[in-house]
Amino acid sequence: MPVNITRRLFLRQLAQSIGQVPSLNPLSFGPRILDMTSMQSPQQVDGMKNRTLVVVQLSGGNDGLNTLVPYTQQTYYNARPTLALAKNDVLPLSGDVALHPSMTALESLYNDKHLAIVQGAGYPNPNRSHYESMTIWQTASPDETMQTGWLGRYLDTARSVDSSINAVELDALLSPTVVGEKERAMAIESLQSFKITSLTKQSQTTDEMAIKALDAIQCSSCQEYNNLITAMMDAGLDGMTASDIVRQTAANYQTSVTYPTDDFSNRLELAAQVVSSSLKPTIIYLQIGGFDTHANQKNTQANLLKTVSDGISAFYQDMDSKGKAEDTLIMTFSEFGRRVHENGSQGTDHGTAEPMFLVGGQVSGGLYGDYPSLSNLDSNGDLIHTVDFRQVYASVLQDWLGVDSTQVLSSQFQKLNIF
Amino acid sequence: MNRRAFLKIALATSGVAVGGYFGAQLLDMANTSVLSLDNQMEFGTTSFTTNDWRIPHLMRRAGFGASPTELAFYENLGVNSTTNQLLNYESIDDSNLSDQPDITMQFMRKTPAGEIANLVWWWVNRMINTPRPLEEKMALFWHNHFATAIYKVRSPFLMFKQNQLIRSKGMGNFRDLLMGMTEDPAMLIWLDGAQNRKTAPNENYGREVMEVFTIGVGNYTEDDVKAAARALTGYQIDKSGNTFFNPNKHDNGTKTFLGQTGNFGPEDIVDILASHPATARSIARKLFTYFADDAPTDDTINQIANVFTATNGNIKAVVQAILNSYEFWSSQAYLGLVKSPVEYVTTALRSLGATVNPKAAVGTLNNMGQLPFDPPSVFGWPAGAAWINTSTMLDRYNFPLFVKNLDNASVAFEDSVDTATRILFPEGLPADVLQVIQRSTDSLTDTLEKVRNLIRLTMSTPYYNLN
Repeated sequence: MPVNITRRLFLRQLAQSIGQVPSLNPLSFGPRILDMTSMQSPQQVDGMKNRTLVVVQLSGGNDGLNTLVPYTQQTYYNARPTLALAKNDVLPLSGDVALHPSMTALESLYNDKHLAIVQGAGYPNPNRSHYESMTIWQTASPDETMQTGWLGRYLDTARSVDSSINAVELDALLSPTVVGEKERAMAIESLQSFKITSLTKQSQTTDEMAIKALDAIQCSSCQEYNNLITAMMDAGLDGMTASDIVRQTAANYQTSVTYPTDDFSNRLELAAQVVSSSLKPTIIYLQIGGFDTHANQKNTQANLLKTVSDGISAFYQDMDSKGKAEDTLIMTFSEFGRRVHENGSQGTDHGTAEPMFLVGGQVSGGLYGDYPSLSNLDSNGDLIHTVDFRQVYASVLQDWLGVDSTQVLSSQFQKLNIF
Repeated sequence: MNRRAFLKIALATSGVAVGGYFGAQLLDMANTSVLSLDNQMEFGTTSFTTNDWRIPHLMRRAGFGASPTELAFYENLGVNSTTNQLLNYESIDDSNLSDQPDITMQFMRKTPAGEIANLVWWWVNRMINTPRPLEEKMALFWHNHFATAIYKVRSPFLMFKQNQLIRSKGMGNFRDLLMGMTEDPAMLIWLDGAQNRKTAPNENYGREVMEVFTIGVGNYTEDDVKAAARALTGYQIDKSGNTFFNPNKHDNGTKTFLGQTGNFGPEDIVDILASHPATARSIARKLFTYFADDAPTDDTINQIANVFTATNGNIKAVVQAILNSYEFWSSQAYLGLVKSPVEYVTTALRSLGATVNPKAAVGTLNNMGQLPFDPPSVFGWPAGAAWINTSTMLDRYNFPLFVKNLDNASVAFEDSVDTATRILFPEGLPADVLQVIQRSTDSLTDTLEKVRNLIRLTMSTPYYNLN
């Protein structure tokens, strides 16, 4: 029996447990015989169950050198005549590195020991194509093409023992990261649109009728011929059920934290609502774009880093205020850093290694890995990574999500003691 | 017979090798044993008889669906002539369409409130109403191929100009289109070509023109990226938003690019890339995937690429070869793609002859992840299964409720539920699905509500959502 059937039954049970939802027509299950006895009951046992991993994808290739600034190295200032950040402006974390001036919110999380920064994250033979390198980070597979994302494989692994594990990407479309062989995250674009609209403005009965009909309309008889149809049916039916769960419980969400008003922070506030819902997602995935700063980088990157820093900080404070800091981990990555030398357009071209940020109540704050050398560059004039990004993934999988990282990453990577 | 078996038998009895192509020659549908062999098209437990599926299939792929009136017209023409007419659209009068979006028709780096929606709706409306569907379908293809987004360009006017470029050159010679794109002001902003100067080259366009627009990853080195960037130096944009070439900013030195050495400029780079065999294959693959089937064999792609090469990159000849290929008419291709959000919205409105509040349509496209003029990155939009998730399926269930002016559907509904649903899925829904729609509709009293419910449910079936 397909895994998704137990997932759907779980979701429906959850929806029914929190309020009135229509009992759906078994017709939609079609030949997938309903077998309640084989259904996994939601497990609420170990301490990891309530944890959430929030992954923030910085799309476009964030310039790591101007994010975690080697502010004492003359080589940096020589390579960046117009873009280098002045010593007096940056936010020093140590005698060697400093944060970009706009990242004051993350600076205070660093001072509170809730921010770990992995320096020089990358992989061997770096690819400088956005698409290729993003795919490498998303699939965690630099050497061979994989069709599944690392968090998708996490879901494949984790749901095989606990089908109640949820994952949500806050976007219109899913990133390859969260698509596994059998399992995938749900997408929620916004709370407003994540619902079934009534045919009429009359009553709940119409809603029920609509949902039942939509449920029954799915092509139960032809699914075995076409995996696209199966995908549509799964997504549509799960979406209808999950929207009930999320909307009913997110309605009770309140926060004392004032989030910034930009789109990214709106999404993080949505993340907080979804995390607070009965869906209790283990994974939240979202992205922010615009980091491809080939030209006029200075203001663009400053604004983006402020947005990221302030947004993550607000989300963390929100979780903290709800007593969930210890259950929260936020991790950032980008597909690559940028070239050491700036180009002629007051921008930077595609490069390699970059810093990753991890924020959380259980994080051991500090710097991890070595800062990449600014003088010993690769043949292309780019940084040589000092930490394989899969080491960070392995640490998160093993120590935060509690799964065997080798099952997800295919081989063993030395963990960092981030927690 | 299962779906793949159909293709195999069709090919075996026709005496033509698997993957064989008629090339630029038009397939004679009426007299070809391949297609008259099996009039049944099976899909799951459903089978469609005779020619019922052919014109709808063609119109979904080479256009944005068709109204019952259109379908009747094309059925009467036959598949051959319809294909011909779709391809050779230049003589078809399209004066019913607006060629001017409601935007500020001058260059400025800002997007006044509402102008993005106006621009998007202008184009979507063309797709719904054009008598030349393939023209707009190709424009959508090239917009996705040379994906340029207003979030960075920040000029509705330049996005409109680029849209005119892809429409005017979209069925011509690929080299001309590539040259036009290389000099296109929106593209020069999007990939920083206007900032690429001799003293310090900017690699952005030089890289993407190879990776995304022509030869693809694996066919060039980082040194080729740098050489291309140098050769492409010198473009600038004037205050009116026109491109000019500034020789003082151009690098006149010798470059070695893809194994050739010379004092290359933009025209040389475009020539070398447009005539590169890898370009023929990548354009062939992308077009085939768009029109026919998203899992072609290498053999299939090579044959389509041969048409590209033999015609010096004549796009229309390549599209013609695809529309006339066995694979296009196979059960593998039939309903094998997922309607993109744009196809989902436009097909409904075109088929129903209905209208929608433009803001609702544009908002839905955005929610579904495909806002024209605003692709997520230079790689364009995803396709196929990537359109399907919990969020987008709910959007697909809800959009039909925005659709207005359902007169045609109401008239058809007076006949039967079957007749009305055929407006959206001309082959006809299977009996069990029709029963659900009938039951659900019977439970309502108001006639207009019945029709709206019917349309919503039909547009929520996998049948409608496949293409």
